Amino acid sequence: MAEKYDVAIIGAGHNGLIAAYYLAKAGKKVVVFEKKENVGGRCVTEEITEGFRSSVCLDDISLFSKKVFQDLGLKNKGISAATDPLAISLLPGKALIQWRSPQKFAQEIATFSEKDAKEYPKYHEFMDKVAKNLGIACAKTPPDILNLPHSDLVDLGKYWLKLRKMGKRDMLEFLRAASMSARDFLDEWFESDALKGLLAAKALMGNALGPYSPGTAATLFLQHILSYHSASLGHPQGGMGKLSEALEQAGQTYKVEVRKENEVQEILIEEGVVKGVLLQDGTEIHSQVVASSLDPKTTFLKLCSPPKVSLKLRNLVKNVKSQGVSTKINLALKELPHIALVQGAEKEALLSARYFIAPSLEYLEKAFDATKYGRYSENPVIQFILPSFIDPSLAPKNKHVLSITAQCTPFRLREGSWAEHQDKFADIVLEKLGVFLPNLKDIIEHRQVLSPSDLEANFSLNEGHIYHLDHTMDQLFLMRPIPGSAQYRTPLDNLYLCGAGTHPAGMVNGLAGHNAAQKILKDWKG
Amino acid sequence: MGIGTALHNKTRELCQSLRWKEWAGYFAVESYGVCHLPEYYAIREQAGIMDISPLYKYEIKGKDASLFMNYVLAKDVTKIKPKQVSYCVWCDEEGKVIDDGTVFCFSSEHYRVTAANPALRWFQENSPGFEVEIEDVSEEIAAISLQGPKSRDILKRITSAPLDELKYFWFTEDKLAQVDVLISRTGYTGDLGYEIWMKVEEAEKCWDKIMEAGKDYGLRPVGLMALDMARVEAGFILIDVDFYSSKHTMTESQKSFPQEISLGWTVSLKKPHFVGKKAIQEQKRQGFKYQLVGIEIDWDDLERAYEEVGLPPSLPHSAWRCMVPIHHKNRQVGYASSGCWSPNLKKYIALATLEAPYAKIGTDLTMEETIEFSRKKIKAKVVKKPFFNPARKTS
Ligand SMILES: Cc1cc2nc3c(=O)[nH]c(=O)nc-3n(C[C@H](O)[C@H](O)[C@H](O)COP(=O)(O)OP(=O)(O)OC[C@H]3O[C@@H](n4cnc5c(N)ncnc54)[C@H](O)[C@@H]3O)c2cc1C
Repeated sequence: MAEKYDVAIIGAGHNGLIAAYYLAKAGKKVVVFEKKENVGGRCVTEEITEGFRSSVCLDDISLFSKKVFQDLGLKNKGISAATDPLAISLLPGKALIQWRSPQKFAQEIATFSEKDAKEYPKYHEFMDKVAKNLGIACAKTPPDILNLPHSDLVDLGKYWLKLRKMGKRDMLEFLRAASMSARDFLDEWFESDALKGLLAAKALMGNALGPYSPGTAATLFLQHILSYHSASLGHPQGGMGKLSEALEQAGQTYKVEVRKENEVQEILIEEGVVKGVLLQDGTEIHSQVVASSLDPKTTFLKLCSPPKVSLKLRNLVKNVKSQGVSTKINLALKELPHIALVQGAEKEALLSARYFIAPSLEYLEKAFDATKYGRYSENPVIQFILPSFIDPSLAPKNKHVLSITAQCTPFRLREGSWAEHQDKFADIVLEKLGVFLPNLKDIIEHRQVLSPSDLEANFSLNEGHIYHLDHTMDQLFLMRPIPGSAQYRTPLDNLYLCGAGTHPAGMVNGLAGHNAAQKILKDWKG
Repeated sequence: MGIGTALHNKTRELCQSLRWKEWAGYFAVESYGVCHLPEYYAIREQAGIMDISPLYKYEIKGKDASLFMNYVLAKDVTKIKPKQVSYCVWCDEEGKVIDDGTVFCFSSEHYRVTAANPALRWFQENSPGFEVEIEDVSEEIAAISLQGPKSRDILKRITSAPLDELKYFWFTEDKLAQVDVLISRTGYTGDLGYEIWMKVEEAEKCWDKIMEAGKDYGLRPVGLMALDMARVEAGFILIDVDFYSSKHTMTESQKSFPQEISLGWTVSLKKPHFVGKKAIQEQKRQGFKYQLVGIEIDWDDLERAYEEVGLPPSLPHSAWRCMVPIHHKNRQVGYASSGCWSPNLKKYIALATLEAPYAKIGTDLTMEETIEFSRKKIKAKVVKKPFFNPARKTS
């Protein structure tokens, strides 16, 4: 007899664990299957070389949902508050520092453009207004506009009222802007390349999009909304893996069973109805509901036997834009790197910030251009952070880890493989960084390079996409990941999605897991 | 007009009639001589050689090749063994036939499909989720068909492939004129025959070798007109003539379920889901409306009708392809779509699609025939198909 559960969740990343928590808390018998020997998925801390540990994929919980943070009681789990400044853009001979306070940030902007300095607080206010009014949509299942059940109609009505509450002018401005390119939108507000470059880089990271691509202004809103409703967190002591452990512990209170080193091989389907999962070792597990935190391509095209999935669904899924463009580089450093532009009384604070090399929109667009031709950028967009500066436990005394994300590096190269190219690309990145971190080259003890192809292999990311699929207008909200599956429930009865590829976004905010669980519970009641 | 196949230089030299036709974008010979009948007789009495390179060919490879083929084709592909060839159809979601073709099984991870119409897009559209690679090799592989009672003897002279053991609808891979070839015991004539597949670069070499070996056997190059007669005798239907691809029809009624075009035997309703299965099952429950059958036109009645207007009977010496109404009593119950006078059987035969109740063997019908400017009804009867089925085809 196969074992029976109410809900079987595929993948113990943060979303899988969070969904499990809510479902178990509501009384469901929940099991989570995790392929690896540890939980967390992309939110993990691993040793990169002896003595140096790093959150190998990402070090960013700035968008983590306040609601989820509170619900799961994560307050005393060693997670620090957000840093101030939020971000620093490195430019030739100058740095643009984004302080948390819009007014303080405006003072920095003034050294680039007096006009922009005046505009920025207004821009921030407008973005806050959008976030304040529309943010509620992020913690809810998007309305199903095809079938429009009564409750969704009510939600739609509420969103409409919220939109109206913004005032006619701002409402119209938002509706107009959401479909614009990031460039067109930012050009209307600002003149400084540095400012526009930084704002766009933060929003576009991870997507195979340039700021000239239509609809990219939406990513600016997405970023701002999630940040507005976040718990304003900084860094989990011990790296991202600690966050994941805390999530696992939260679930244990309600008897969530996490089965590690248990890879799901197939989703069992009979006559269009999902019955459970088949594990790699041949064990069949039956469950009322299966929730997959994996990307839609893996879920529908690899875990389901294709003849059992309709052609329409398979083609919709196949066409999802999911080419990863980011490469992760983790460095073990002998000492603290010298950042030429960072000095003075605020040095301590500045060193804990997130850094960007994204001097202008044009620079971002050109970096993206290479993607179209299956090449990697010779002038990549770079984001980096020194986690060991905030959390010395990550490296031996006085030594450091530097965590870098760089793009664009398309998963599909026109010539050669990533195994051949990744070191060349890493050299380019280090060369670029060397301009601002002059002693960097001399203090590297070890480097770990994770190309999109490595990200696919090591973290089960289809095509190495760090968010599962691009944050484009046609793959957000009502359409994420595809029409017909945007309400977490899929066309295959009893199969739900709960990972990064679903609403609201592919970032570490926990809302996909939260929302999916709420939806499953709602459907359960009927 | 088209382009030449890999064998164009050979066929052009031989085509005295200058009668060409377009086949899948290529030049194809209609008849080499001014009269096609010697070519027909070659197929039935000695051997005929044909350039069939214009066929579309696809390679399906990968871990899920068998699963995929089983999903797109109506037949149970898992039953096709390595080195076996199988005649298959594929249908759309509504269960209507898109095309037919032969499937060569190399292993459960490698198949080759030949098709009359382009099929790449259809296969690719259906492939998401399957671990398969679909490659169009139409322009890389040439093919020569060698058909007729002497075909085996001719081939034996130039290849050591075990042809005596090669059964009907199986294939073997061997050398011919030092060229790597695939020889399948297949064809479109209903006779003993082989199809030889090779890389396009080596096609001429093979052609020359076969022509030379066939000299003592009366081997002739044969064109499409002779083939058309042979295939009617064999009861083989032809796309765009006897049925239409559901992708190309203008109306619903022009589409057919496989069962309506005598291809029910290529459909396995027992296997798990395949494209069109649900619709076919549903129609089966309700009953299929049409059947494609063989009919024989009554010679005496034809003679009488001509005699009435003072003419000797006139016979179609090449196969015709048009829709000719068929009646039962005074009601039209179907149409014939191709037919010819079979010199071999000395009978006037045709392929016809009839409303199911009239498709039983022996049913009395009439077929329209234009005699001296007016439509006459000539007696006809449903008969068993194939009309011509020599033991040598499979022995
Ligand atoms: C390089 C990089 C940089 C990033 N930068 C940022 C950033 O700056 N800010 C941000 O917010 N987000 C960032 N992200 C995105 C963020 O990491 C993800 O959105 C988030 O971690 C997704 O969590 P998840 O639970 O949905 O999926 P995952 O964490 O991927 O969890 C899925 C889990 O499923 C497991 N699994 C896979 N296949 C199977 C199977 N067959 N059976 C059982 N288990 C299986 C995996 O091992 C994994 O544990 C980044 C990601 C990467 C890779």
